[in-house]
Amino acid sequence: MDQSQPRMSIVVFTALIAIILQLVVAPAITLFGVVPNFIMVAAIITALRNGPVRSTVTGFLLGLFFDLCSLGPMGAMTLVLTILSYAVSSLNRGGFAGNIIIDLFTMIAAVALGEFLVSVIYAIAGANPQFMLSLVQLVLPAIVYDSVIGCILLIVFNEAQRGRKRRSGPTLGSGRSLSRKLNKL
Amino acid sequence: MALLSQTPKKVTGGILAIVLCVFSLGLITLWSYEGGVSPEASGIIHSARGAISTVVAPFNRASSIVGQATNAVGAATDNFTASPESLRELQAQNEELAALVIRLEESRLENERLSELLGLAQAYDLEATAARILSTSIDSWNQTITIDKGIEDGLAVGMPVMSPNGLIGQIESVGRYNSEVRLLTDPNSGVAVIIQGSRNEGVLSGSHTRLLYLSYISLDVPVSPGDAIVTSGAGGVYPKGIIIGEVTSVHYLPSDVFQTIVVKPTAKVKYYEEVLVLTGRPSEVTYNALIAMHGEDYLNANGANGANGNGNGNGNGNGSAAPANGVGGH
Repeated sequence: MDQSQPRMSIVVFTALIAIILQLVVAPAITLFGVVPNFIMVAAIITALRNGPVRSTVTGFLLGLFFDLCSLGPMGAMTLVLTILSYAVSSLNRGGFAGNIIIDLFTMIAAVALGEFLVSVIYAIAGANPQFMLSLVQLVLPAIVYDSVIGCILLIVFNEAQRGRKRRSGPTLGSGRSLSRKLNKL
Repeated sequence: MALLSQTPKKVTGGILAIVLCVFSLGLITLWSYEGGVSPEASGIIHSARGAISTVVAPFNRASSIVGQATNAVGAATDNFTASPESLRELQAQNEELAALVIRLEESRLENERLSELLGLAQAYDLEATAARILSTSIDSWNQTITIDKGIEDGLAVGMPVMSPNGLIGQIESVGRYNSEVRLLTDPNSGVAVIIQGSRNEGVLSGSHTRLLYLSYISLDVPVSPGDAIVTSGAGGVYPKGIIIGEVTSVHYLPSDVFQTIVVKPTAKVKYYEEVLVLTGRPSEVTYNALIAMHGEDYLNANGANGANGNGNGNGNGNGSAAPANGVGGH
């Protein structure tokens, strides 16, 4: 439990920052009618750095908060972020885990899938009467905007994590600190 | 927190994901069961959203400050990059507008005198309350604004919201101290309107591009760019005669049944800081208007009490026609 505590605090911190950015900054930086989705980006970043259980619960809670603050179908973003978080964290456990290039591609693919799924759920729930038009006028610009923001934040997050690891001492293989590895042994 | 600290050995991620997905689907179903995007929707989810909007109100106020800052930066950039030609053009426009303001002021004063004579000032004394815009939608899918008035100020779901330049939307969710307004430009919005010149009725709906589309206007109806679009009053939600926008383009194919008419809204939310919420129900407004024009005895004699009594669609539609036409004559 002690080992997971520091990373848990990072997850909570990331989620809180994402919520504040979504509520305060996102409405002010709308571009061509597209509001950036910091909450989706935060859920994907969390999924890229954590296991399926923690990622899925984080994605679910972030989506639930987003849905409560929005006027769209309640549960739409909750469902999408739960699926995305689980899928990304499950896929990201192989040999490429931690590779920034792979992470960036995963971010773009996850954002594209997430925005598309949201448009489909909105259409099924009757809240997106112009489904085909929305793909061009809303989904595509949203994918581009969210991907750019997601990639920037992922690089920043990665650098911050590397800086923290450098400060905390030498590391082994997958990135855990040497002292923790030794304790585990 | 305890659940988050579980290792995959204790709780399988897949099973957890399935459970949470089923729960999410249940939420979507419950939301749809409560009425979905309809303004009449009510239930536990819609109430929860009202409560949450009260909790996040401080963040909305912060968002308002950030929005003003970004607008100021944008304006400064525009001014800095403006060419001498565009500056000269703006100066010419400014002079034109100054002259127009003087003419409009004259018209307004004249209108006030005529309204006083006919008692229409009382009729159009719409019960309303001003509210400040706190923030816009936090997602791309809903074109909404948050205002700083709520249940405590007498607001309720369904009340129309106006700006100085015309109608902008309707309250969809109301919290204790703030409310969410769905804008007319939202794809889920719809309002019964008439073309001011030809008096033909249609339905105006929003789109993702924030333009309005006028539907159900047949090919034989003459419509041209510049025609004004106003509310028809049908349905009893919006009072009759409120300006919404003007036609910008009309196109159709010979095989079409209806014309495709694009309408540009006159009221653009991003230019306003305050809005006006019409707190009097349209049926009450209509009834007051009829009393002002004809007197209560006249209404009793003609059986027009139904316009106020039940507040149904028929009463609203019929009742609102009289005062609006009266004003149009001025």
